[in-house]
Amino acid sequence: MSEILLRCDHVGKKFCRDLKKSLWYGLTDLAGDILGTPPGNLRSEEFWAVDDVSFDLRRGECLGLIGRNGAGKTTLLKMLNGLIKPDAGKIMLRGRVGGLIALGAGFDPILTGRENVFVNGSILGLSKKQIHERFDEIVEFAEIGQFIDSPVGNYSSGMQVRLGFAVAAIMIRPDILLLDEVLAVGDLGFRLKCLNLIQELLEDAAVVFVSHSMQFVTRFCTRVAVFSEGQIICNSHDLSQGLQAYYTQCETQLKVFGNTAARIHNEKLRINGVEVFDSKQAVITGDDELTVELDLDLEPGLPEVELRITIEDFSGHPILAIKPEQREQLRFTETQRGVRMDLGKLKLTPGKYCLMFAVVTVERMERLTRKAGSLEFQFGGDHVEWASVIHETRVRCA
Amino acid sequence: MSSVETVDPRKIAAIESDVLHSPRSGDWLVYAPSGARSHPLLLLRQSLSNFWTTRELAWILFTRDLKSQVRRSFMGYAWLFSGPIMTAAMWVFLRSQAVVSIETEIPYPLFVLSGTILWGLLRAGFDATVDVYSSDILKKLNVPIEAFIARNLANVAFQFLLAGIPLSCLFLLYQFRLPATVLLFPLAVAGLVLTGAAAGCFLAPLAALYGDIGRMTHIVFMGLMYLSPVIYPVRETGWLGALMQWNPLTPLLNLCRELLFGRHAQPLLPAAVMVIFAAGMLSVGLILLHVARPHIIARKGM
Repeated sequence: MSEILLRCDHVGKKFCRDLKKSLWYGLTDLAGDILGTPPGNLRSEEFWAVDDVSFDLRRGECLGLIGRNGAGKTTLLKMLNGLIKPDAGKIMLRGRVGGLIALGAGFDPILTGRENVFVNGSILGLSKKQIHERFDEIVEFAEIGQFIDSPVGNYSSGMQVRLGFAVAAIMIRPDILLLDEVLAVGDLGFRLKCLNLIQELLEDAAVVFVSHSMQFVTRFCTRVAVFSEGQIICNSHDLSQGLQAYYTQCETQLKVFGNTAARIHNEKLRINGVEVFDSKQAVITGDDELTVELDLDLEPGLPEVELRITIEDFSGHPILAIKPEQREQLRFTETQRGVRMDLGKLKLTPGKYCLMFAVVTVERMERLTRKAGSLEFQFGGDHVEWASVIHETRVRCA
Repeated sequence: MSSVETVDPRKIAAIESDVLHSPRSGDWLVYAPSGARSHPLLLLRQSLSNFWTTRELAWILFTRDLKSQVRRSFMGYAWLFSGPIMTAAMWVFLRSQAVVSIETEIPYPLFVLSGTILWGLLRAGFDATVDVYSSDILKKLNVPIEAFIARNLANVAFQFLLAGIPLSCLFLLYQFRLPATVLLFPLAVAGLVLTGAAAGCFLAPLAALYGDIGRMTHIVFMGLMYLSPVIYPVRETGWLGALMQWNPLTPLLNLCRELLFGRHAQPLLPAAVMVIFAAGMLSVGLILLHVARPHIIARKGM
């Protein structure tokens, strides 16, 4: 096993809801710090923003911190970065600490890109010589080209973040790497470059990675810690367990768009033929036969319409389109109709999913109504895959 | 906690209270609730060595600000000394109109311009530390605060050099010859600036938390100016005379002026005491800035 680089030992941090009191507490805490009185219990209007958090992190590990907004992830990251001090417990770090945080810090819009690279690099703790040596690499990576001698204020916002990212990601080689949701910036092509560069950074560091993107978490992390109200409610090497703990905290929202010419209602989910009353409680496995039923109301006189069904993952990305074997089966002209669809067995990576129904006219593809976030269900399993849909196949030695 | 065996507990205990950055590999860096207090001298040593290690950053920040200031303004550096010149010019005008009567040993314009410039430098020294937490970078990245103090002090030094231009013009105009003691003048000015910086350190945490401090210092500095030999020399009699004589800034300002104009340097001793006192206070102030920083960021940082 590789060495431990980071240890959090019952770490806690208090915050105050009231600004006036918060400022006053700040002053008294400072006085207490000077006089050596340890911070005490919660005062009025205070709460633990980070509460009794403990974990170890080794070189080569990447810990994903996930949780809802305000759960304490960023506060913990600030403590790890030494910007704020814990009010309880202690944090121990070994080696150089660096992060992709506050990209482009110190950029001055008046100065040229070249000058700003040196300012920014210097703020990140690098010497002029070091920056000089890799300057061309930075410019090339950021795809700034001849604009490097123009004022940064004239750059597009995308160019600015690209330059900021390039300086930080190319120059820092930390032992402990802190990442806060700035993984990939810029357009699609640049994002792919960012991700590859980050992958390189991860290999030789202990990484703490705050993210709301489960796609990145599953891609980079070897462990996850789920935060809720300042506490770690799940800390596991098993990503699926962590993701499920996170998903159970969040609610999908049923969203209906479109006009009332077409309405979808009474959606029902059947597992192995048995109707499920609350689909959220259901945990579906790859062996379950699924059936969806719904009622469709159409205003008289509408042109011919068809029903589309998509499975969406928890963040609302469509991951699987469901089509009947013969398209005609889902075309309707009558005003009222019950629909029943056999989905069969699904193979999905563990997580929360929901269904999206849409009614479109056949001729002009005009969308009449769309109902998203319907029939939320949970897919169980032991192993989280990077991709949502799993296709099993036979592999043989050729 | 599965792997306690890899961390030597004795080693942890030994460095438990060290909250500062120690980038040497193999050393544990520990952040804990209270620990700064137990090693004030260590903190001071660390702070002073930070001045050395971040000198390049301080210089880059200083030149960045200068370049950016000059490129975005037409008059460039002239703005740095326009304030003292305006105040001085106003008083020269008031005096010439017999609104006030001020008698000085040296030509009055020289007296008042040197006064306002010195006062501006004292104020700049104060601002160099009192505003140090306002930097956005400090709130987001763990950059040594010393780099920003050094940057601000470099700004003051630059302002001092620029102030030489209007002063030398007046010297030429009045055909005033520079005395040999002028060589010591920068030293005395450094003492003045450090005094301001030391005072700034102590107010910086308060000023970062409460906006009142900024407004208050503005008023206090204005009042204090009239109790110091800036626009008129020390009065011998009356309440004002007593207040001016007790004002600790008086000997410092007088010393600066006397070195510049080659008068007998009477207040050498009190000024020396004042400078040594200021240096001591600045040391304490630097420790305070360090200890206060995480508290300030916790309450104000975003």
